[in-house]
Amino acid sequence: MLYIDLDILIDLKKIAESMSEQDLIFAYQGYVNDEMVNDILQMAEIKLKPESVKTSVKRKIFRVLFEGIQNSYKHQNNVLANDAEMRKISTVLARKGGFYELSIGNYILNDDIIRLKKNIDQINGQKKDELRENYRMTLNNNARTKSGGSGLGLMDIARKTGERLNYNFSGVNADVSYFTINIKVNKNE
Amino acid sequence: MNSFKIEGGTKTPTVMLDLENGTISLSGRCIPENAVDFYKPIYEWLDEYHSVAKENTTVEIRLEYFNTSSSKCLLDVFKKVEKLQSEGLSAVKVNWYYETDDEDMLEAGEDYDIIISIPFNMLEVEVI
Repeated sequence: MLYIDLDILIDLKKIAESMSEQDLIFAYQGYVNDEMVNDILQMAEIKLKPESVKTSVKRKIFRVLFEGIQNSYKHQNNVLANDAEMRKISTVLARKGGFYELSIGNYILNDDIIRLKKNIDQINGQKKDELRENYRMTLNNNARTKSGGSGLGLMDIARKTGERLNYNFSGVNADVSYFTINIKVNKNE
Repeated sequence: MNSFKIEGGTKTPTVMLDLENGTISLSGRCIPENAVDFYKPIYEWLDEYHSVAKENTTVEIRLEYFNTSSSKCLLDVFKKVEKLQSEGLSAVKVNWYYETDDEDMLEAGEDYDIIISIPFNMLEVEVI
């Protein structure tokens, strides 16, 4: 059993609590499985309904939320599966200026940080056309990631939003860190 | 060999594999937990269809949305029908439907069109 500093886990909750009610759309923290992804999406759908933006923007939020959550719990299922506390993820959706900002956090093995960081930095460094080309190459490559994924999740999010993916790794102990990704969706897409 | 149908669910599409008309149709939402398992019977049907393929084969994709883990599975469907065409067993076309303001789904169809060497018709509709 790995020792966990629970303060890290509640980081997103603190962020959510520090927001005014006007900015926060919803926050969720806890264990996620496939059924619960549905519940979170339903909650998102209800909360986004009154937002006065185009349906296409809501649809985009919905899709990146789905990909983002599925991405986060699929990866951690593999490495931290034996510890219920470590399988918890956090999600916050908020309004921020001309954007919606979606933050998703999950535990990650320190051994995976370099690979993930490299992957995101590479995505962030690509122009729209390069990213699309790279997406197609990965799609057409038969390989699956070690967690059985397509390796397309983060690229897909970056393509759909057209925005840089901001991220943070916060050290928990010698083996584990808390990974947070921030996804922006333009309100006027 | 027979036609084959999978009823759609909240996370999986309705699948119609129509032997009589040579039509392969997927409609609805495709976001299953394990996409590979979901597509397995479709691949099996397509492998059998290979030996009895109709002169013309049409693939109808009316997906509201699919997740990235399904995207490789969908590519494998296209690769199987592409083979029918390259081996001269059937003339294949894909009808790819997308909603008017859904740029993501249009782009997704275009990506497949670039990878796969069978004709893709991009069909804009009001509602999927």
